[in-house]
Amino acid sequence: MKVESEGVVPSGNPSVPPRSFSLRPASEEDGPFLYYLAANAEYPWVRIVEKGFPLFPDIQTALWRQVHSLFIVLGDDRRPLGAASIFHVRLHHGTAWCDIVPLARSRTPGLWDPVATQIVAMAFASLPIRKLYGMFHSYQEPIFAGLKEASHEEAVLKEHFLHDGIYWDRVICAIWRKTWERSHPGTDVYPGEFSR
Amino acid sequence: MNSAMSIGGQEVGIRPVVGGDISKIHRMETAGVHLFQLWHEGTTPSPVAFQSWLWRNTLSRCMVVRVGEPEPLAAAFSYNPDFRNGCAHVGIVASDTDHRELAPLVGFGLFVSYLFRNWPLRRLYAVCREYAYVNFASGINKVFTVVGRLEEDGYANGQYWDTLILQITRDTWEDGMGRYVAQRARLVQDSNWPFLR
Repeated sequence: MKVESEGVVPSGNPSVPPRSFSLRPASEEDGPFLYYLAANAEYPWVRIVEKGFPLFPDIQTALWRQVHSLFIVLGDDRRPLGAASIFHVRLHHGTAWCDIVPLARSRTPGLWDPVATQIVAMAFASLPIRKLYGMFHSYQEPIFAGLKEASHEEAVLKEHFLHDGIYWDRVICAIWRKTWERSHPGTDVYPGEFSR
Repeated sequence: MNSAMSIGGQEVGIRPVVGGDISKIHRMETAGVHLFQLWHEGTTPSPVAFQSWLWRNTLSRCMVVRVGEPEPLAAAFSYNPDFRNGCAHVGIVASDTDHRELAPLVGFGLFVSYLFRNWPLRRLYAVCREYAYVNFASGINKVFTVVGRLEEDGYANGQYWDTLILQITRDTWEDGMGRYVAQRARLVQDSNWPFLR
């Protein structure tokens, strides 16, 4: 909690949902926030802590392992609300994975759907992939909850993940590029940045 | 680990990997269609890189042999152990001439029993492409269940293939195939293994 008292973690009233968000690439200065995020006992960052929490000197390595891009999600007051990343890119097969990790206090319904939309759009805009995977556990909001028309479930590992004393299902879902482009035509992730 | 069982007139066993096996495993994993399996995805690993890769995140590896014969039939392995959640991944690669025979699967059964006996695992996962799945699809709902199918997940031999996620749970194993293995398996004295003679 020392990290929180230093102001790294948002201290606003959690009952007031942020109205908007923005993404910026994570930098070295985000280390303490990302460490706090990964260690969040209520909502752990599974990709980082699944096999044990890394030592502080190793956290940067763990955070960036197989990562293509890692973003800090900022609220309208510019305070960090969570992180989102695209990782395990396999261009040989045309696939990649993404994850979205909100701070517990920022798990505001409705806020994370546009974040997911943005991350999916960025993945398809910046990588020649056919398919994007996401994973969540049954105690969490589905990672693509707001993208139901574009995503579908491909695997359910029953009672796979131990969290808070209970084994929860792990769900793997996927979005095809062709489905995405049909359901979200013309989604521009870099408005005005590219023109012919 | 040194155990064996007779089935169909053959005596098949598993034993630990020893130094001379590394090059044999390298040959198995890079021969024929195996080169395109999940692990190497068509790349040809250098022998040095292969040896380091072989033991990374490995829980256990063993060779499947016919008792009394020096050449291994297959290599079975377990990797990515996750004791927090009580699971690990397993796989097997058979020598190219034997991959349709029963004996490697018998050895794999001994290996799965060995894993459940020695570690408090609740379940084992195996991940394979659908073209490899046909070799052991007969075990569905008897030995394993399919818990996921990642559609057109990987590219090999000019097309995209589904990746299947298979699951073997301890309960299912101990009630079925594990009991069968336990009734027939026997420990083998080290001196019986050809590589120690």
